[in-house]
Amino acid sequence: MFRRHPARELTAYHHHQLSPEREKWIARHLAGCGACRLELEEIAFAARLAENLPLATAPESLYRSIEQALSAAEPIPPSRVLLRRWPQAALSLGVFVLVGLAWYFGFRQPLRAAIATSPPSALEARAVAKHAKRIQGALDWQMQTSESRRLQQWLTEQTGLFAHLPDKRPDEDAGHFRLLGVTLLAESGPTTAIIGYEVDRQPVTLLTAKLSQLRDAPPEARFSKNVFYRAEAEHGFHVLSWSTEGQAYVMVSSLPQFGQQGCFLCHTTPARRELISRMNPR
Amino acid sequence: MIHGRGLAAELPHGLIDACRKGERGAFRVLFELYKDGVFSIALSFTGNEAAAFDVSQEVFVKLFSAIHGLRDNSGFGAWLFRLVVNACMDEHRRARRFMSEEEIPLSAIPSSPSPEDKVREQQVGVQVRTAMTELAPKLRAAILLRYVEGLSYDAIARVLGCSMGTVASRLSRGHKLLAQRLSHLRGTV
Repeated sequence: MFRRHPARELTAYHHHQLSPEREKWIARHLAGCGACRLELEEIAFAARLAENLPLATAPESLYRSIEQALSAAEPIPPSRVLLRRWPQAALSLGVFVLVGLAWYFGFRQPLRAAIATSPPSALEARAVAKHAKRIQGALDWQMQTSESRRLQQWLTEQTGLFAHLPDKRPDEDAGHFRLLGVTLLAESGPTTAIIGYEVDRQPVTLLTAKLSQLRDAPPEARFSKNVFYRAEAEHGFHVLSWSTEGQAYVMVSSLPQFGQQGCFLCHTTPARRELISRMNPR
Repeated sequence: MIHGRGLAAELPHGLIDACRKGERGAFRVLFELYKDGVFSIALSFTGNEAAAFDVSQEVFVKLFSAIHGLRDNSGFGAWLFRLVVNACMDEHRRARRFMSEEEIPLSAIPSSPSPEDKVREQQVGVQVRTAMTELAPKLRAAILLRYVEGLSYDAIARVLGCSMGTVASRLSRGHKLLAQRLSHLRGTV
């Protein structure tokens, strides 16, 4: 009769690593199979040999050598790592700077204009009201001057606010810009300055206040200037709002297009003026 | 019944945590507990005292450097066995690169001295160790984990990263080869 010999399982049988059922089956098989019994004896012999493998004692010097190896492998302080890898660090820094410069000069949008979709801020509302009042001739200047330096000095002393007005205007501005004066908003609330000037005899009113004192002014952008345009419905004024260097600004006028020509009071470089002229809020 | 003779030491409570914190005193205790077990396996695997020394050093350096990453204290034993087996395998690969198997010197047994009536037993041990070094490394590892450490098939499978069937097969082949090579010792053990 054909019988399958469990030769491959005999070692596991010897070590009692089989299921009870399988162990019983093999025990029955062994009782009737001399070849498998011989093989099991061979395994038992090998097992006795392996049990004779001697245990050794580790040399005394082993711990010392481990301590030395551990000391050698102790982590290097980050400063020394940087020192060791300075060529890679310098290369990485160089690449980083180049990428940054490429983005700044190549891809960054230094001026982004958008049509305001949110309701007018409190500063905008005040700016529109003051501009309307000014057109009616009902707004007086606390500091009446056409000198930008005097206006700046007064403003800073009175309020701590800045107005980046150039001391000297380009020749092309001759006869086009006229600074009138500055006054402070009398109403309670954030300290707000109202600067009045004319562009080609058309009145422009610029309000500025500290961003930290305003709740609903547009946030300051990190790498570009965000300008928001709103066409004021009641009087048809152009209203431009932006924030920079910790101050919020609102400029109101009836100048052509979006009234961006009013920005030339402060911006005098040709490149910047070109950019402002091409402004197209969407 | 096989009982572990090497690494199956019982760990004092809190020892692993102390090692994790980098306490050198705890490292020393851990070393004293496992040094002979690690060295025994390494010696039986490599058959060479210098290589066993290097393997043991590598195992403990890795153990002390990486113990902070051990998440489960109960897995320490299996982790240590893996470190030992891997270091032995690496040493085997290195040795094969630089010298043939025949050139690997086999050392005398450095274990505790025996009385005269145990000299024969000691000689058997030397021969078994010699025969072990002639087995394929995978068979060697399975036999050492079984007979020096007394691990179950399941535990050996986890350490070696294979199935229990593979462990059974490796042990079976290892036994046959040992029995063949040491057949002249039949009747003495």
